[in-house]
Amino acid sequence: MRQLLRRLGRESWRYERRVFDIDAQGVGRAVYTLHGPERSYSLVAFAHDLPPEMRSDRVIAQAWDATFTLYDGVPDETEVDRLEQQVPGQETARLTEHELCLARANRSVRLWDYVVEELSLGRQPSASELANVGYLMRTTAVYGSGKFGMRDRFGIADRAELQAPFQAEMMTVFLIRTFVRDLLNHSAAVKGGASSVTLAPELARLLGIGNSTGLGMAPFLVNHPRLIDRWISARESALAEITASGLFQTQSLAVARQKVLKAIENLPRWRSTHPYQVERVASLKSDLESLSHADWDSPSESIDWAEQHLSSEGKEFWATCLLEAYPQIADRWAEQMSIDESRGFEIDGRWTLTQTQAAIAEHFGWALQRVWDDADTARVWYVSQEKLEPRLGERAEEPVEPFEQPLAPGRDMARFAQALGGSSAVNLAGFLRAFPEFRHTARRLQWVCSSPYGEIHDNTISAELKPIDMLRLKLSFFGATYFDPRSDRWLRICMYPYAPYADELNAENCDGWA
Amino acid sequence: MLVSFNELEARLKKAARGSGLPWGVAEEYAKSVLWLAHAGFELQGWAVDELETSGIEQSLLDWAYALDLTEAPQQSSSTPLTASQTMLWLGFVGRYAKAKGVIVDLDQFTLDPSGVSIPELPLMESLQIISEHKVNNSLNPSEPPRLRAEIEDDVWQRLGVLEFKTYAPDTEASRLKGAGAGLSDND
Repeated sequence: MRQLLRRLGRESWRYERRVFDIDAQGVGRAVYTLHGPERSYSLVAFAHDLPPEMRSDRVIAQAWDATFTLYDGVPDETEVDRLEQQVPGQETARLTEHELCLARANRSVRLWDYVVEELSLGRQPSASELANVGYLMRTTAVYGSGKFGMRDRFGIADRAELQAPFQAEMMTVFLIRTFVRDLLNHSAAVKGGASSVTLAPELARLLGIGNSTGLGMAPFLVNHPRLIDRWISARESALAEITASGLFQTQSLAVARQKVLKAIENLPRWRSTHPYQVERVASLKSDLESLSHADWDSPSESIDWAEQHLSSEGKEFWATCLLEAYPQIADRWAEQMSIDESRGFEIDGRWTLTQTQAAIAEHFGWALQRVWDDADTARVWYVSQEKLEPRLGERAEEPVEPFEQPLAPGRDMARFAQALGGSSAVNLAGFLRAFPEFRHTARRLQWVCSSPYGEIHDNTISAELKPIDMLRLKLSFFGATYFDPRSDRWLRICMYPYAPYADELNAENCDGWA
Repeated sequence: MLVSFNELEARLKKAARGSGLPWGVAEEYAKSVLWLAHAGFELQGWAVDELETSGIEQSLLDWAYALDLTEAPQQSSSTPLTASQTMLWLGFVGRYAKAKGVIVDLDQFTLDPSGVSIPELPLMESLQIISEHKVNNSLNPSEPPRLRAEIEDDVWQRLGVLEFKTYAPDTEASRLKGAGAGLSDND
């Protein structure tokens, strides 16, 4: 989110609301376009009149309050007509190379009706009520990368504005936020007529777009080790450059300190009822107090201090503050976050078995130390027949093992190592011809050898697994805030709170809002 | 019908897995068919026939073995390949050409790493590698990549049937517990 808005502001992208054709029932279509130096992108939005009983965040839902696609360019009416036949169906849609993202959103019932009522009566809603929820709508899926026939990632990866991962998805959400604000004002105007008012800009700024995320995001982290390596490497490299830069620049230290003070101010907005997160937020609160009183001469010294004095939450928070304080360094490394995953697929079968075993020992030593007993293999990742959504089952209690997805690299690597030990094959190619069940794992091993941050060094099928930690890792790279677990495998977050809207964005306000 | 390469690869891989192949071999199958799709072949029956009859695994292992050693995949000398099998073999040869950066001369045409020089071809039961030579860097430098893959509707559906076999039947418990959320998430 941050790098996207910095680019849009820096390059003076122009915003245009081309269509807003919504009726008194809140049903209709809208087209919001961003024009950049070389290309334009349009959010095509469809608003629906959704009965409350049909509102669900699960993938199993079949209808939503609003549905969206990000169109490559500016669609004419014929194209919008075509999209109207497809986009509301979401997973049943057939889209084309002109579409880059597909998304949907549901209203926050508790906030939407209240705010519409207040605005229709000519009153502004309470800022604290807005802050309590944080969003008027939450997305429940934002698809891209060729899903449902959309344009493949390789078809946009050479564009500077979309070169970093998930920039099209972040642009989609950014425009959705502006559409949602406009739909709210429209609904209030319909209800209140001449006595209604629009949401005050300073109150609108408090609101982001919520996101409800389940297990579907977790397999991504395991399925893309080379991409995840690039993400983590970029972060670590940026931090290394910052800590090697000598003494603090006065301005940078001021920015970092200001982030701490702003976090202290915002922390009460971070509400979660999940005990797991309540404890972490409490730790962070204490850490923020410590940070606000600490003093250092250099980024390096501050990191060392954080390592000794703060919880994991606090350490990560301070690292993020440093990245915020040096945006030029962060953005430069962010440009290294993408990778062409179509390359490097072939296995090097010339490896000897001894070489292969040594590589496993070096990169998966943590997996070899486990016994992989019933407790270590308690869970099974599978995909449901009914809704094609990833799920996590109990191996001993549910008949799902025959459908297990290859999402347990630690266990599989331990089995691979054991099988290698009993083989007399002259090289890895020969071994894999005799034991093809290890081809997937052998390929992964070779990837991880050159992608040191690509693997989660923990057991992804353990009885102790908390998938929300995996979800948080991915969401943190988007710049998501207000991480709020609802269970150990489902959560809500908020995107773009405090950010300028598309019609407000400029070079001055495109940064510093988080 | 036209599909994205991402969804095509995902369906091919899962279909191959659904046919009983190990995951890693299913990946090999998908990658080879995908290469042919990138090269401009419309995916017809040959893209699914062999999965439905489950007799292709040994050939896939032999061809993958050759690729693992950066050697040209060879057709079996004892049993002639069917037309469908020949197409799959061609996909492996294409990957070989791409991995090694060579042009492969077959007895009926020439294969370059990007596949763009492949003419429209009828299905063939007999193809042999004659020779190979290094790619000239100027070969098709400005040819844009294809953005869509073409596949017969029926083949897409047949692959979908095999893909479906990788999915677990639902139970009420799995619906409620497996994904972690309740059915009503309104706030």
